[in-house]
Amino acid sequence: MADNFKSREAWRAAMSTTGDCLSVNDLERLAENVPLPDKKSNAHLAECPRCQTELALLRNFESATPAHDEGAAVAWIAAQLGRKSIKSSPQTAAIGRLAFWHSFFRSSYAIAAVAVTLIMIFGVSLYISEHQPAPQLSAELNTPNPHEIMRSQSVRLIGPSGDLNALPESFRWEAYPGTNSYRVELTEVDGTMVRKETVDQNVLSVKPEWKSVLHNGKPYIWQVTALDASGNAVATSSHERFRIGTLNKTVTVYK
Amino acid sequence: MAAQPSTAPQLYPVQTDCTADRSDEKRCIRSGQQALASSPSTASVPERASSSIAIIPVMQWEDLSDEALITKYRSEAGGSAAEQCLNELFRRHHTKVARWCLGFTGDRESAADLAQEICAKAYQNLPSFKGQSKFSTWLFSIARNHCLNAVRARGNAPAMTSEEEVVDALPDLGSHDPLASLERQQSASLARQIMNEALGETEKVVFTLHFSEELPLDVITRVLKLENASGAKAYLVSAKRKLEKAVTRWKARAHGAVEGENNGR
Repeated sequence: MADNFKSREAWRAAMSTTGDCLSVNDLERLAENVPLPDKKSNAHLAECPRCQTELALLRNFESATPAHDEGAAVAWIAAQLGRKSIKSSPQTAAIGRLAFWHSFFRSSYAIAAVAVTLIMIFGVSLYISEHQPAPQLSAELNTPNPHEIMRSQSVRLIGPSGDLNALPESFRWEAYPGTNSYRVELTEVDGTMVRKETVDQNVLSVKPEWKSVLHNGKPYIWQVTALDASGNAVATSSHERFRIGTLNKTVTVYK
Repeated sequence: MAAQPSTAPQLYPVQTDCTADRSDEKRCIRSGQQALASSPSTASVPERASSSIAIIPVMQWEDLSDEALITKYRSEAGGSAAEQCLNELFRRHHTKVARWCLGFTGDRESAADLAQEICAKAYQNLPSFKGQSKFSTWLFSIARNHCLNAVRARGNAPAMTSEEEVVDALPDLGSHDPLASLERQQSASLARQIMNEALGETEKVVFTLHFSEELPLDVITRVLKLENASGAKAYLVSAKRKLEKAVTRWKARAHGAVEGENNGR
């Protein structure tokens, strides 16, 4: 067993990066079929599986032609990217907003204009509230049709929520009518996706692969999206936050 | 047994330091201008190339190289022209990133999410782009690291059991022979030598991606666009068979050499 382990380590080491491995610039030249000037680098490439692998990956990345069966999917993803655009990323939007307000409030005229606008809005709303009769509920609303159901457009989460003293056994939410499946998304508080899974029922058991990504003391956010038979979103839940291992902590005193 | 995370250092660590110093910025602007001057549109119109300042406003975004777009994006910071530069820059690489991500996920929805994350990360780190490589190579390093991390983080790495079936079955390099005491570095060197002698190019790449980067075989098949019937699996099985033979041959040679040495004494 020890020998097998040793052997496996040797194979892994043979494929790992070494100090002599080619730089990204060298790989870029090779990917463009420009030979490397020095013999040492060429000799290294000839015997290093890692560099050969990196070169193969770079060449595959650079060849934009999709395989025959993936053309439609690639076009769809590219269209999604184009539609969302880089501006849609949270960082860009935030920077854009800040840049606008920063430049806007540089001018004292702009500040004065905002103040005048606010005073006018306040004055007009005060005038309207004094001169308009109090709103009355319509007869229809006072006597609602019992067959007409006003349905909430969001999925209601049950738990986990808040600070927990142990790993939750499941994620639960209320069933949403007309739903074929539910997509459960677990993210970190900064929005980084941790895990995503689609289930048929309104419960998701916390299996080992979920347990492995849930760490003590770290806050997580989860959300559920109800999907129809075609996989389209029907309704979504709010974001629910929870954290494990922060409640009823047992303090152990070592003597 | 849980899959072990790869301990191999990442070949292309992505710089996240977004405070480019002034000298780097100048160098980058210079390289962008050089790229602009040598772009096909300017090269084909020599009279224009003589006055690069005059031609920039009349050039379409499509005519500028990636590096020139970045230069312009930086010089027009905050304006609508900067935004157009940015959109054009990323639009050019959408297909590459989309295809790359589809290879890693296999379904278009997850691939779209992954691709969006990569573009956002690239945008976020754009200030650290020094222009020492092409923009697409820089984007590749981000996409590569992001997708490998995503596959590992989402638990899609091949189970250790399947790895053990193959790796444990591989010939043992260090038992019952005079080389049992080989140091790790020597063993690695020997393993690399055997791989180079025995395996073809694609076999080596598949073997490395599966056992070093822990990529599942279906991902390797898609990423490398292998079009044979059983994809990466065929290359892995073939590699294993060839390595077994090569190691047996090597052991026989090493054993013979030691016996000869002993007889000589």
